[in-house]
Amino acid sequence: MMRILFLAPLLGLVALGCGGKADRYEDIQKLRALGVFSDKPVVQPSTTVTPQVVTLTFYAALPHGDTVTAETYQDTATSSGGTPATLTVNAGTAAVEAHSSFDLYHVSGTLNIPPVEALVFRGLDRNATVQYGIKLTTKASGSQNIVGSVVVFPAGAPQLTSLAATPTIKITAPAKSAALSGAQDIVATASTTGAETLRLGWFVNGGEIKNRNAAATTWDPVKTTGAVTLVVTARGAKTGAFALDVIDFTAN
Amino acid sequence: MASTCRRWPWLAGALLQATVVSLSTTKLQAQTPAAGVAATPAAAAPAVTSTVTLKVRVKGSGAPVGRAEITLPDGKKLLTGKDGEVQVNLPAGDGQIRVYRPGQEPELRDIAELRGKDRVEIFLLPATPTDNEVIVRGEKRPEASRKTITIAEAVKVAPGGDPAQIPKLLPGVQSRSFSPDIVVRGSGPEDSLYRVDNYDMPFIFHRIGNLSVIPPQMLADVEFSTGGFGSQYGNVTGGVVVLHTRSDVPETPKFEFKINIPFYSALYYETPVNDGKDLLAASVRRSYLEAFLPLVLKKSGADLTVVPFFGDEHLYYYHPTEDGHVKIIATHAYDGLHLLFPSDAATSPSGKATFDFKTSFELIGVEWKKTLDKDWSMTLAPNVFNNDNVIDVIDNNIDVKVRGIVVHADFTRKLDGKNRLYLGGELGYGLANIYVVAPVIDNNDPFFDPASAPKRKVSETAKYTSAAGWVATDRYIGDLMLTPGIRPFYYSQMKKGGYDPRLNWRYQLNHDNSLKGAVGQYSEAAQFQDVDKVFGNPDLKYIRSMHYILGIETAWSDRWLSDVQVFYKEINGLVRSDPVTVKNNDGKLISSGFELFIRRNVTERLFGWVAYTYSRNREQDAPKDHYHAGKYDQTNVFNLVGDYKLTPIWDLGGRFVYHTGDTYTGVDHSVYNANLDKYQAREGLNTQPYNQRLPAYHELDIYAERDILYDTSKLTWRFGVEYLALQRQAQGVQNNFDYSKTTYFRGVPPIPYVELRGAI
Repeated sequence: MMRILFLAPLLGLVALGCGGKADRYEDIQKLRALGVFSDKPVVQPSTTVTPQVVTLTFYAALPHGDTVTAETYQDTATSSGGTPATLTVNAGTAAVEAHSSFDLYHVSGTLNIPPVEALVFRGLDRNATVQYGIKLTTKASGSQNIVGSVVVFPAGAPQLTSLAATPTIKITAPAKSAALSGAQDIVATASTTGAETLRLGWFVNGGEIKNRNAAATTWDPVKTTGAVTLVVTARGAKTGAFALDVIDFTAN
Repeated sequence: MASTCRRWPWLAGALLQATVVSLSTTKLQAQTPAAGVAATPAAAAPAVTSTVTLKVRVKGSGAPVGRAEITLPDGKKLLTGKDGEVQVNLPAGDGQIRVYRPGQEPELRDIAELRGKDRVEIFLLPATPTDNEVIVRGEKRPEASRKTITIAEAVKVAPGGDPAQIPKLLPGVQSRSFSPDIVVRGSGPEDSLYRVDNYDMPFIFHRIGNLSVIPPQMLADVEFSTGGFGSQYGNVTGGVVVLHTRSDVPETPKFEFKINIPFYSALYYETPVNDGKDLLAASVRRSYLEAFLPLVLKKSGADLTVVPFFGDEHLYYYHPTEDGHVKIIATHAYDGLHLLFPSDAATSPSGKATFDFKTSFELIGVEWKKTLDKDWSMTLAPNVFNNDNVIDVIDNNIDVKVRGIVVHADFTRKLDGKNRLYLGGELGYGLANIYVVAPVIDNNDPFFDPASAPKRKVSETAKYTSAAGWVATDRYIGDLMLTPGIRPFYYSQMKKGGYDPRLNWRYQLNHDNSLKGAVGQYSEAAQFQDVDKVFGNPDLKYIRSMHYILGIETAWSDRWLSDVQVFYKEINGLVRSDPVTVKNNDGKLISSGFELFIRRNVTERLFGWVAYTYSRNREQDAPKDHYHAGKYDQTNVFNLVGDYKLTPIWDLGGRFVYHTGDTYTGVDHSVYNANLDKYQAREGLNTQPYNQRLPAYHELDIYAERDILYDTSKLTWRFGVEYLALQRQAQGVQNNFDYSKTTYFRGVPPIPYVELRGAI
């Protein structure tokens, strides 16, 4: 009798939403990576004539008063299909943007894309990935090992145009000047000209977001008094192309 | 109607005595007349005042009671016929008749009450159960590790009353509470064979509901072997579970229903046909959990849509012949699930991902068993099937439709004495339409994420064939029985064949003790997806296992028997993920251990058993790797099972399960994957797989059953509590979103339940 077992590993996808969580993903209480912006969502392999270089900007939420150091990180595990590359952290690019509940930290790094012979092209789209890593360490708020991959298409591939767009995202509700209290509806508008869907992600300090991946959802409860900060991110499902929006509010 | 009992008036007793004496005298004279001897005038026989037809039936089912004994006031005894009927000439005067059959309570009826009626039905209540007599099961051909459990035992104590889950309570088996799957001496759930008679069902358990697809009323017993099985079974390295269908014809029709809130209901009907020679049975089961669950979830505020459903329908026909039988089975079973849930992998603006799953099959099988002549008998069992599987997970699609035919043939030849020769073969042909858009699963790739991994597409029609044969013989040399056998096979997905030599043996030490053992090779073809040219490696080889078993069986009395075994099993060629070839045969498993089985044989009153297994399972993922703890490695497993009939209508029973905690791989640290916006676990550089263990698990399930008997129908209430434990048991581990905290996932609290079954 023929037995087909494609099901079992794909059930991992189901577990993503169904498993219990000891604490909430969206709640920022320590150093938390938010995403990585790439100046090139997709890129072609380097050639001797035209080396390809990607500049990555790493974003993280940082509790007030703490400091961060950034260094190259090599993942302990090896990957099949992807090509590891060494990220160069660009000195002097670290910056902190103050917000009500936490600071927004960012730092840049440079990634050299290998030539075609060093890459493994796979899948229906015939793309390769170049993997990088960075480690952010604080004095009091823990550390984050951030890894990711840049998507590479062969020279001349149509995806180098169709997927080249960076998304935009904006929090449209509540209004920037709104005074919040209790359960609050939150809405973000995201768009891209690239040929991919976008995945959204909300971050807050305190309270729960009913569905942190939804464009419109509820934040409940907002902190009863004082300053609160709301972050929403968007990333391309195929390229990881990234954008974020951060707004500060006052809770009553 | 409660029976009544009167004390005999002393005068009536004297008259009765006189009547008995005179009847006896008359009979004597009639038998031995001697010429020339004047016969003593016979005493006058008591006057017959009327004739009544008594119909004796079992209360609760209305089944006729054949050979029920009717004792008249004068001591004369009559017996009912097969239809439960007898004509009784009622004597004059007062008195009582007594109606009795072993296993039933005697019933007394006043003659005055019967007088003037043409026909009277008498319903007998079940008698108080005794522990006097062991209920004998049919003898099976002995094999080293085989156990047989009757359906009557299984429906009482098996999880969910599901006979197919009885192996969970037997030695050599690891199991988990919420899953019907079993691990047999280290071999995973997909490495054991489940059959109904000679048919492989596309799936034996409903994935939703965890019940087997065959209703217990159609079954006679469950046969289970943990290894060392004969050459008639193959293509597995684990165990063999065979559900045998019934081979009996009821005397009267019966209708049963079952209501299990909130899961499902079941209807079953059986009737004798063809002048009572054959059995025809039909069954329907359907869930309604999908109506309750959304209401519960809505009330709890969960942002989740879950719609599960399952069901099955069956037709079964049994026709005994003079030299065998014909059985026909037609089955349709289906499972489905629709999920809509918040997920990081969701691509829709709602942030929710969808999961849709539906699987179904239809199977029609015929079994023809016949004695050909004084030496030869055969069983021929063809079946045709159709199996549909559709799975949609977010933007991944799997659609596989398989239809095929399998023909199984078995021949047995009696040689001299108890020696036997067994020959058989099995041919299968199938056609599969496969459409898959999904990522290639790479469990060794730490960056692998099913949500974003590159997808592959397969759209093809594939034909497959399977062929196997077997030759074995039972040879008796004094008290030693040897069963050598060989099984050649070919499975088209492997593009090559092979053969498995095996040997079973048994030595009768004395009347009560027998030594037994087995050694043999057990091969298994790789799964279809593992040899697929896109998702796997077409050059994979067969998985090969060697079983070594040694044991002793002891019959301590007709009530008690024990079975002690040691085993060693080595499996080579296990399929593992490979960064270059996608799949390879580098995996290896060694399983060894000790099993103890003590059984209290079935009587009307009591049955039960104790099963204990000690085992170690070690795995190796590549030739250069060290051995590590296995994925399935419950070192100690203990099961205690029993059922006791307190009164004719009250049953008490339960099961206790203890096992060492399951293994899992600990997380050393995590990374944030920026492409996916989620954290992924990482092991330490020297971390061995399955290096951690959950706490030990225990569970007590108890029940009471109460029958309410009506004349021709019966209701059975079952009250029980499942998952009783000293504390909620750890079923697994769960990590928080960034793996900085690990907690145990605890099972459910004790669940009380009520179940109602009816039989008409």
